Amino acid sequence: MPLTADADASDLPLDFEAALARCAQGDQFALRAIYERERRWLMATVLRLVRRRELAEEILHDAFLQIWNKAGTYNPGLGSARGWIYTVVRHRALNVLRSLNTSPERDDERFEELIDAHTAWHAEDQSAEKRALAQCLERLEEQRRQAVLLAFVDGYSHEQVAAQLGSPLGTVKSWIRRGLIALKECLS
Amino acid sequence: MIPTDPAERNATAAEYVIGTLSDAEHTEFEHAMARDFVLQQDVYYWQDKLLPMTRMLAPVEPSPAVWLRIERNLQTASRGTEAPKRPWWAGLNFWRYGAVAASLIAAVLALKLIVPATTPEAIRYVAVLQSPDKKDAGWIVEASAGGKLRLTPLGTTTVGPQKVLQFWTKAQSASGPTSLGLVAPDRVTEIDVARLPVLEREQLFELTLEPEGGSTIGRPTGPILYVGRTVAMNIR
Repeated sequence: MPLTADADASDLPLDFEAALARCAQGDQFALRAIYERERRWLMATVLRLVRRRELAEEILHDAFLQIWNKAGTYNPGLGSARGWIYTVVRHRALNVLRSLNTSPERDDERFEELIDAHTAWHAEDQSAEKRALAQCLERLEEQRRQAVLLAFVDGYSHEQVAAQLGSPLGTVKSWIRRGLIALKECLS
Repeated sequence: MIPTDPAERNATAAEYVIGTLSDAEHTEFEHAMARDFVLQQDVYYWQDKLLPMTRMLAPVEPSPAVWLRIERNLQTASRGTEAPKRPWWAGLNFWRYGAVAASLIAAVLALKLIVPATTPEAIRYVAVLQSPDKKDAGWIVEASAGGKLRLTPLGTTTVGPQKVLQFWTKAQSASGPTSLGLVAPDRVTEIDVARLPVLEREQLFELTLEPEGGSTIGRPTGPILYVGRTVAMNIR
């Protein structure tokens, strides 16, 4: 079946929890529905992490086979299916990224772009969750916020964040950890 | 080490989700999470709280070839579990007669000994899960340290509407079972052995019938459908 057949359906709402449950029962259409809805966002997330298009597509492929195989381990009582899916995909990408053992070049332009994107995102926010997260990130100390965003959005390791921010490793580890604790306090 | 303080444990769960734990810490965390319901809750909390960030980047269209490859590999994978390629023991009717199942474990083990092992030095563990009245052998568990646990249905387990199958294990020394997640009633499930609290001989595995979404209290709430204990074997 050509992929374009459902192109119009890709913006319709999908019950991701039910779709993941159907994946666990072997329903390939459910996996496809998830792929249709999320592929562009997942691709953006993975591409941001690994920066190479071919590699990102390889990871997206592998991650969807993992989603298919692990769907039965998702617990709908604890949280959303989309959250679970992003963790599977991001961890797959990070696993590849770490195994490549390449250090991202120090790239101030990209970093500025990240902060700009973050600001723009804050301005055009829609959902309450998005607004809450944006506001709580804004409230973090600057260095903690930068460290958390570099780790989450760019997949930097502690060492890479330390190199990027020109700060000692121990300090950076503490920024990330304290940043996350402060973020939780703000979000709760 | 996973901290004991709740706020610190939650921060470790956050670091697990964002991906700043080292490989060793990541593995240790998954191991701990498998038997710790609160850690699972923390992980799901962070997954959802950080989810809006995934909408921060401009979407990028992957090549149409990506889905085509996924679909092709799904079909290959599904075919692998269909009748022609099922393991020899999965197709045998006499598995239904559970009374003989226990004695047949020995036959399975003996056969495996002469089949070239993919991981030559691993200790393998096998359990046949039978209905509590031992009339019906429904599932086989196979696992080796550091690899995957494979839970294979011998037939189709009937699960009513709004019900799911939940998979549990309990070590000999453990006071209660650990959830290994929900499983499809008619499909092979594979789980990283790293998610198990332990892997040892005489370890209990069971499948219980739970309400949709599974038990959320960290122990089974519904009836045991199938249960069995592992036997160990050395492969050289």
